[in-house]
Amino acid sequence: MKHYYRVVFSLLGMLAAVQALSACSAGTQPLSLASAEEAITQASTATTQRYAAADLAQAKDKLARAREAAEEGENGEARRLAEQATVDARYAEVKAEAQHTQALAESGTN
Amino acid sequence: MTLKSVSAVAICLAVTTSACSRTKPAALVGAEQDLERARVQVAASPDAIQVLQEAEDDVLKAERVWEDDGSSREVEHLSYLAGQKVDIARFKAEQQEAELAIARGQAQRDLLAANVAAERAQNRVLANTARYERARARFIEQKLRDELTELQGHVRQLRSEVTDQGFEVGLEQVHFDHDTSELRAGAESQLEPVARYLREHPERQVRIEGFADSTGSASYNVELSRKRAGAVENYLVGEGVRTSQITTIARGEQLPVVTNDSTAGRLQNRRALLVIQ
Repeated sequence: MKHYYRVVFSLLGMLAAVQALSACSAGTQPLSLASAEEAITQASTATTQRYAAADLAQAKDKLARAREAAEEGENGEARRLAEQATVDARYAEVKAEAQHTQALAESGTN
Repeated sequence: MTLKSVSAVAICLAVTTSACSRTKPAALVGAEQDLERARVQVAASPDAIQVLQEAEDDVLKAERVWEDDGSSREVEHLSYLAGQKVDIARFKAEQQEAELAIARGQAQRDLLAANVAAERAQNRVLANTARYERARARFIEQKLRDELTELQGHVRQLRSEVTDQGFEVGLEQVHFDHDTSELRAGAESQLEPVARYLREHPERQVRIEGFADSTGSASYNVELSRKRAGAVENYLVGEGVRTSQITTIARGEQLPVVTNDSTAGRLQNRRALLVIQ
């Protein structure tokens, strides 16, 4: 009787571990990729296209490379590229906003 | 392995577990320096300071990874993130400055517009005040003119009454030659308007007072002055004045108007006075 319980518990434990692993690798995409995607979507405005198109393109490129790395199982590289894509997208958005506002300020004072 | 090198490694291990005698990665040093510079530059923008905080977290993480002898790829990566965030902070500071410039420009334009509007309003007030003053002046002038016209009308009416009657209202006098009660030439033209007035105003009374100068006796002069009053009375009656309107008084040599010491004075005193009542 005692042995039976032990077997059942260990089986349940293994099942839970397998499920957790599958959820992590094959199911939803890693958090850093989702953040990068969101940041790029948010940065994709007319203003950014006008003032920081190259910076936004770099963010998109890094996101694409992050996806490739993830598919090849290079998780560390995928995370780093995704984090850089996120910060690049923010960079492009904030830079474009600043330059747009500066242009407004200059046209306003003239 | 010599004793010396062994002891060097031992000291190295004793001092610190890692990072001993290794040079810091250029990317990390660059990120640290960037961060320090930016701290001063963006001090005015709370948004930027918050992003710098994130950059600082990345730098500290990179330091730890490096000290723990972790992946140099990770150190570089964290340094890159920090560098980008420092730039993001700078952009945010620039943005705030530009927004302030726009607000200042707008405030200046608003102030200018307000000044212009105030000046216009003041000019309107001044123009209205001037218009009011002119209107007031015109009103006062018109009022004075009206009063003047009324007074002039009044004066004209009074004057026409006087000239219509041909003598000063109430009083007239004629003079006589020495020791006679005959009317002198010219007396009739003086008395004619009085006669006309009395004819037209039968309700009025005339008192004729005869006078003489001091030549001759007093009783003779009383009689002479009575004759002089009578001469005037006869003339008036002859001109159609009712006898009931006339009373006569003989004053003799009483009440001389001037002294009897000269010929001219005596002529002045030989007179008949008509007082219309």
